[in-house]
Amino acid sequence: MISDRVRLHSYMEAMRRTIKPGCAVLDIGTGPGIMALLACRFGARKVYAIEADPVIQVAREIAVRNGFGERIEFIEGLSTHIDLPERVDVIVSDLSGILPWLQHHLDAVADARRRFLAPGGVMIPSKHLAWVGIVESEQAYFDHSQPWETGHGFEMEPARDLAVNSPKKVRLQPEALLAAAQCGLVLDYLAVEGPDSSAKTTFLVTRPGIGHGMLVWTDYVLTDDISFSNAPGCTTNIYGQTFFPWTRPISLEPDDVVTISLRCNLVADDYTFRWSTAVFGMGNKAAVKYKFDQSDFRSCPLSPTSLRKGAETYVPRTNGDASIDSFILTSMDGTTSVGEIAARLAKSFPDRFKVRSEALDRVARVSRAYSE
Amino acid sequence: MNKLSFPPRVKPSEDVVWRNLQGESVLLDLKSGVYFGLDSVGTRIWTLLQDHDDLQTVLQELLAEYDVSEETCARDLLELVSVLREKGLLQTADAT
Repeated sequence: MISDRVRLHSYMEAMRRTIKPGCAVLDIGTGPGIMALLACRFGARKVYAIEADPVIQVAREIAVRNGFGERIEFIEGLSTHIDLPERVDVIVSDLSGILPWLQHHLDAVADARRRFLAPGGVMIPSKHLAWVGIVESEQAYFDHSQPWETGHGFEMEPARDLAVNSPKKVRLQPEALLAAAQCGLVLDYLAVEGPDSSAKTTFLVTRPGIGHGMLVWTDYVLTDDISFSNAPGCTTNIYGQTFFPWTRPISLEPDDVVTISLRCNLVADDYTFRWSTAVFGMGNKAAVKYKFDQSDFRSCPLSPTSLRKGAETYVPRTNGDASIDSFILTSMDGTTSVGEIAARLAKSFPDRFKVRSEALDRVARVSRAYSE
Repeated sequence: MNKLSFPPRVKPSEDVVWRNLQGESVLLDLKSGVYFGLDSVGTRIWTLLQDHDDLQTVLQELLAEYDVSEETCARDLLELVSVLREKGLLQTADAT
């Protein structure tokens, strides 16, 4: 963020106008701590800066060097797993990416608002507006699929299918739009509750062209009067837009009507996107020119064996690795060091650990995941 | 006409995405995040249900493709449809 002038300056201005002397601020996902530092500079009495990544150690050192070591309380972990000693007046976060649907961003923000925001408090950003457009961009499309179109004489359809179901980051200009963009969804962070979203948009094609897919971008509304956007043609910042290709390029004529349904569902730790497109010739609902139903669920190679092991009806049986991890977990009794466990592990599984460092790596990995 | 009565017209739930994997298929329920697997015959039925909400039509398609009695085929079809409905992967076709 610190290298993104548009974003940083927008956040700075929003925080400068919002943070009053003496108030308490929560910075979720502080990273190296820039927003926590700014909150102090603008007069915050106390800043709670939460970060799950080890970069929090760098943030601590920077805070001390800048004289804010006492006012900023750094908390390592996920905000959803943490309690604060007080409610705060301002919650600031920059957890989204090109789109608001990034990992547990929406859950984290909603949880923080419910548990930590004082009555009348302010969320920065206050809203995200998701915009949808339909675009002509041969380059964006064929960057995706070109390697699999020709296939050097081989039939590469399975790979092409993965490619055309993969959303990707692009930077397109307004000229790529084939119809006026639509605001598909408003995420109001004073109201948002769950992680899932859906939007239905309808476009009236305004110029003839080849439609290659859907473009989605975000307006980042930090406060009522401060926002920035990654819309086509806006000042370049580190975000671009997200291009959702169609199954194949399609010919569009003025007055064709295009309807798109976009669904964003958090599955485990990542979003699955589904975009369903229907094109009606000259707006005639009976004349369906094209119809696509796509999802990035189809965009990554999947192993049937691996999926089968996660099925509800699968009866699992432990393998050799389970015995090793079980040994390590059992040895983590609160009195034995990682080194000692590693020595015992190497002795108990001599075929798996030829040198001590291998056993040490394995124990360290389990220790990082499961020790307090 | 088979002796079993078919439920109302059905269609794949809007909460489901799916993909074919070497003749079998994997369904993902976006609401629950749960995966479901279908074997090759189940995959064929699922594929037919993408285009036909009338189970009689699906049954006739299956009878034309597989060497199976109508009674057995109808029973197996109903059994799968019942499981898929129970898990929310199929919904009645006239539901929104």
